[in-house]
Amino acid sequence: MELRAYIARRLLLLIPVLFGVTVFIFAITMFFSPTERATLYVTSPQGMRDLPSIIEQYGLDRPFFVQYGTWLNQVFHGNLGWSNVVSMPVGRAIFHYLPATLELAIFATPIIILTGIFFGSRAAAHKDKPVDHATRVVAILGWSLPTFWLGLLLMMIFYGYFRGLLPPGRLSSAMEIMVTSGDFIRYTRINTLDAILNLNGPVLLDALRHLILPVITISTVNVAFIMRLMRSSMLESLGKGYILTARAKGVQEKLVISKHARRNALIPVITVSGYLFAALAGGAVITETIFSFKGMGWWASQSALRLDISSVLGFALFMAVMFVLVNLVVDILYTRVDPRVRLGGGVQ
Amino acid sequence: MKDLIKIRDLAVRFYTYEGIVYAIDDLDLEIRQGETLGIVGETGSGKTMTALAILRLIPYPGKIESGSILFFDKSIDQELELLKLRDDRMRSIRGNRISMVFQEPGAALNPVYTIGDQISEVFLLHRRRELAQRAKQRLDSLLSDGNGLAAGVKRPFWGWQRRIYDKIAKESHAFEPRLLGRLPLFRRLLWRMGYEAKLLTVDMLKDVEIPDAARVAVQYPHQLSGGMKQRAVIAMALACSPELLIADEPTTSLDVTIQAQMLELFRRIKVDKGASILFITHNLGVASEVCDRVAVMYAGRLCEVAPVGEMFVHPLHPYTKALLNAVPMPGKKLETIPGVLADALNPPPGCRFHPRCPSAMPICGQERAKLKEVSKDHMVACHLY
Amino acid sequence: MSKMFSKMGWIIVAVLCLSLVVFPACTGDGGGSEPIPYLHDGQFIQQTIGEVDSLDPAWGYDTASGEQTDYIYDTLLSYDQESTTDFITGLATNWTEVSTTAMKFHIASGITFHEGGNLTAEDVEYTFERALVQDRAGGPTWMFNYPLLGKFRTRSAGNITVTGAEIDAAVEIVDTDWVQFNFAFEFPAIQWKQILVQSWGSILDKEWCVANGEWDGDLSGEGWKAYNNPDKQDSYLYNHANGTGPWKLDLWEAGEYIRLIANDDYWRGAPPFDTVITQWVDEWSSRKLTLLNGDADHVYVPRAYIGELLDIDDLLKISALPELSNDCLFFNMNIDPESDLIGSGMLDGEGIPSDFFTDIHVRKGFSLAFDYDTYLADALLGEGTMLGSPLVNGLAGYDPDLPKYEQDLVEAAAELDLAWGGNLTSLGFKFTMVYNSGNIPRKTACEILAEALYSINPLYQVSILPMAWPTILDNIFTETETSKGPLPLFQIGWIADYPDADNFITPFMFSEGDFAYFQDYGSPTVDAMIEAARFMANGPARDAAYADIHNAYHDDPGGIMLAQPLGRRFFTKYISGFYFNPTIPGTPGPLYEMSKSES
Repeated sequence: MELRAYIARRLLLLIPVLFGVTVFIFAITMFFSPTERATLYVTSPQGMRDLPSIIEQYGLDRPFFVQYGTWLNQVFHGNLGWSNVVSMPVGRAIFHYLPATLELAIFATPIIILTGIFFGSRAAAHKDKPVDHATRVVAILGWSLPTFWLGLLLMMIFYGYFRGLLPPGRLSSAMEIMVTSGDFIRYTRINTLDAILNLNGPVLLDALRHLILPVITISTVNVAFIMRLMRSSMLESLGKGYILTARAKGVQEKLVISKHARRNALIPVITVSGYLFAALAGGAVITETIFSFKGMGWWASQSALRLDISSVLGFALFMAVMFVLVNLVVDILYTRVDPRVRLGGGVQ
Repeated sequence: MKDLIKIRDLAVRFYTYEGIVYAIDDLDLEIRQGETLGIVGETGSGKTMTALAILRLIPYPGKIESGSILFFDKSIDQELELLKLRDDRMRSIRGNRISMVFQEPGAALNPVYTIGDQISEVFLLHRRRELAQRAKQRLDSLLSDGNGLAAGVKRPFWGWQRRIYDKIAKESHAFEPRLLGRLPLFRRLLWRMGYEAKLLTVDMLKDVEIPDAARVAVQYPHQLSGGMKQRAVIAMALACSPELLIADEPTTSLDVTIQAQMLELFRRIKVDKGASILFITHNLGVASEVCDRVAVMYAGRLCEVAPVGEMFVHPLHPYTKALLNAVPMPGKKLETIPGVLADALNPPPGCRFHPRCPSAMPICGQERAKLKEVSKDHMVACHLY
Repeated sequence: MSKMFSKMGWIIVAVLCLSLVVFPACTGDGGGSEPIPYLHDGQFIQQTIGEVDSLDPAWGYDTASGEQTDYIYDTLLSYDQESTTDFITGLATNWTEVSTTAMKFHIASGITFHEGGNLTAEDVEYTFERALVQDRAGGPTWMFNYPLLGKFRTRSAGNITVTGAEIDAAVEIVDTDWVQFNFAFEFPAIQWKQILVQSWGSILDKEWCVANGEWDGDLSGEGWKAYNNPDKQDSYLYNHANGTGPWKLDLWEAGEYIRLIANDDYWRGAPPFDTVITQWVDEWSSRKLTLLNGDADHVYVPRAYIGELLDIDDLLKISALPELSNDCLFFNMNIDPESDLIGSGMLDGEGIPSDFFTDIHVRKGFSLAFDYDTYLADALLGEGTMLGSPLVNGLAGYDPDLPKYEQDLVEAAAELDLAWGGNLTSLGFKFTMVYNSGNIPRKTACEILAEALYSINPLYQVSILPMAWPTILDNIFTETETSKGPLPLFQIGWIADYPDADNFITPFMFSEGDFAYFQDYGSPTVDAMIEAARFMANGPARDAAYADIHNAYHDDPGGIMLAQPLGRRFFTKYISGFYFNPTIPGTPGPLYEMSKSES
């Protein structure tokens, strides 16, 4: 199938997906009473006596389809609603919080995938050898370490014990002032990228300094997943006939692994890596909270905790779009890695 | 003339959780120069392990426990002990002087690389100097014939490339080209060798009677039929004109008409290339068509070795006889060999075939029969003789 | 071979695990001994929790909003340091009581807003009229509505119930630079001043507001009604600010930080900090390390973590600050009979009836059963004052010597024996208490009560259930036609709007009060006492009236009064000038009067 037609068809698929997702989430929020949802707008015990008028004001007691219809109508007019937890429109909130999360994802995903693939294939190539045991142990440890524990530990060491070495937050306050002053143009709000675009070395270094710990935290937790997948996929691949053929051809063992086995083993890893990126782009709640690296995860969790429904819906829409797009990219990548796969057709 | 391969007392064992598997037990076998030797036996009799042992590719957890495999190197008129060769020397023999064709062409080809890539790889591995030489010659002609502005601009670059190829042609792993080969971007300088390999590949594909070879070279395995794939695999094995071609049931997974074509191809290879072939099969009919001599294996041991005519006319070993009886023939009742293949974990003592043997004697269960030459070139391991 | 390798693998595991355990132990609390460096000269950086809701003074009703509003805006007058009854001038240079129902303020001249406008009496009139016009649901402007318009809200069932003329008449300019407030009834001047001094009394620039699409100040037609009870985003002021205060709004990155910069032309003199940065950091460990690294001058310290900072020398530690707030376990005297939390809904030992707490012996018995000392020690770590009525320390009328309940299990048992015609002892009861999940002090209070009751009689069974805070609020502030909410007992606290006794007594004891209404508490007699005391001038007579009210609560308890917490503050040692006034929102205190220096 032609690539363009395929992409168009997949994007069209977004419409029912988005509709389904929002109806589903909206329906779930209806399990909360109007009063519970109204407490979002009340900030002190004194305001409680106005709950009935807030319910009236925001139409929180109207029937499900009326409320959903109002929301949908508003979306068709290009307005995703108001995110009360952060006092800005939902659309702007996404663009406000996405850069931080993307920055983490952009740095963490390659690290996770590359180390996962590297150690996964090493472990498979040296099955039942010390390397294999060590990588598996580290993988299991990383996987089972609670994120908050690891994050706090890293912060205590690199910010507490080594005083101020790798601070939490996205930028130190002096750099934050520089970034928000007139001379520095925030093209993307991804600090590292903006620093490069502005040719500003100090901001770049400072941003990187703040990125190290959260990226390590996210990576440690997620790398195990890719590593284990890569290992089993690689073991499967190493048992295939073409590996024996390659060896019988006289290919060096290193190349047998890196050329013949790995490329085939990568195929399942690509799918998972795609979803990993999509998931990371949806934010890492705990990491973002511990390191005050506030992004999508933090925003979404705050919205959910305070029953800020338009924010939750906005986030869900974003995630649905994200996953569909990632799926699309994964499918296209497939065709590049595995010649047997054709768009829309699966394996021939 | 010396035997190409001389296997002596070869023992291969697999160390599994259940216990030790005696995959090959004290095997003695020769492959003569220019002959086709068939190895016949049931599944699990150790045919494939023998082949893999020659290539030293016994899979984990198997190990070559003892014995020797001598490979006669014509160029230096010496016998090489394959089992004691350094790994890199062994690698330079695999695919080059001894190559192998596997049973399942679909599995033997890497699905993510084109046929051309997979065959050129063999050239790039074992024919670096030759490829570099060819590339150098092509550059020479470019340098002398090239005219016009483009050639003028490229001339110094070609000169540099030529120098590098020259180094490779003199010493296949010279330092500078090896370094360049590791650097991204610079690596691309060596593309001409790949190009030459591709040209050789297309020739090779033509050689195994693949029509439209240039197109097949850029196709992926899944785009070819089973017979085509097997031809491609054979082309890959023959690429460097090996002295020994091991074919492990090369026709089993193919349908009958293709099988016939394939056997024809093997016969022609033997004649054209003068290579020895070790032809592994469980099909006696197939063996009778292509082989000069046939060796019969049972449960990791050799039962009988004889020239193909002798074997089919005067089989000696009860197992060979049983095998021949089991060959399906039109108008004949199909017979089977009673009992099951000996358990490799707990092989029966003495002759391993004796529990199934119709002519078993008391001694068969106690003592192993030595391989004896009963007539010229006809050897059998049985207490009957 | 492979066996040996797997052995090595296990050794690696062991070493890794060991290092994971040992490393944190070595590094854990290493930070305390080193001195805190002096950093960020000229800046005040604090890390806290709690977002700013809105910078619109008439909208914000949370401490975070109030604190930032306070930095940016000025009010007509200020408290004199720690006092909550003495005032000093602010944007008003003088004020007089015109009559018992009117009060006027003289507006200072020569003061400019951050954006350049001049302060005039018109700005002041506009500010308060705008507050009355806006009157958002759930907002603070009821404090203006009530004295000025005679009603708590400008709406009833969605319809606007005041006229433009009424609003216009409530605030007017007299003698060009005086602004006069006309009350709907006799209203004590001191309470009006206490209301005006808070963040909702911040003065706006009329021209700037109108230029940016706010209400235009016209009360003649119906046009102003469009500005009544808007959505937050409809107002320009929620994220823009133009005050006369010591700091100007520089940047508000919602969820991350708000940054203010000095207003060097401030009429009282340039402020002590060039920049004031408030960062929102949810994670306590992160805040703590930031403070100890000198990257913050002040952080919010939850009570549970106070112990982690007490041994650190380089901190300015201030303790025992009586916050104007309290917590109470309310009895619901008219429980929704459909409630899941009252078992069978009858007095049969398997539940409680809907009117269980109407029996005064039950309420007294419960009040006597509660272990106040344990609560103080466990829930507040000893830092609090036990209360006998809603009145808290720091308010006129509070007297620590008035009677309050103490645990006495014998008397409690005796009271409960009298309850429900003497049947309770033999029948027993069962019901469920809820607390908002994660709130340990409230959970502790529930456990203390449940244990005490069980120890009196094993038939007195109370189970405890965590619930999400919005769900609890939903279950408290709800009513059916014949009953109140489904919670038999509920726990919630009150924070002062302005430091007057009535601000605490009315919600708890007046039959229409914020809490009392939802527990069906109150009597005409007590209502009359409250109304009589409400507008009395401070003095011995008012103190006596509140003593009577206190005793009325003691004799007819509406809930188990818990404690008034005592606060603590932690700054780096470089900060000085802090004093405690409980009405200042936020934890840093009087920032304009504080300073930071290395010595």
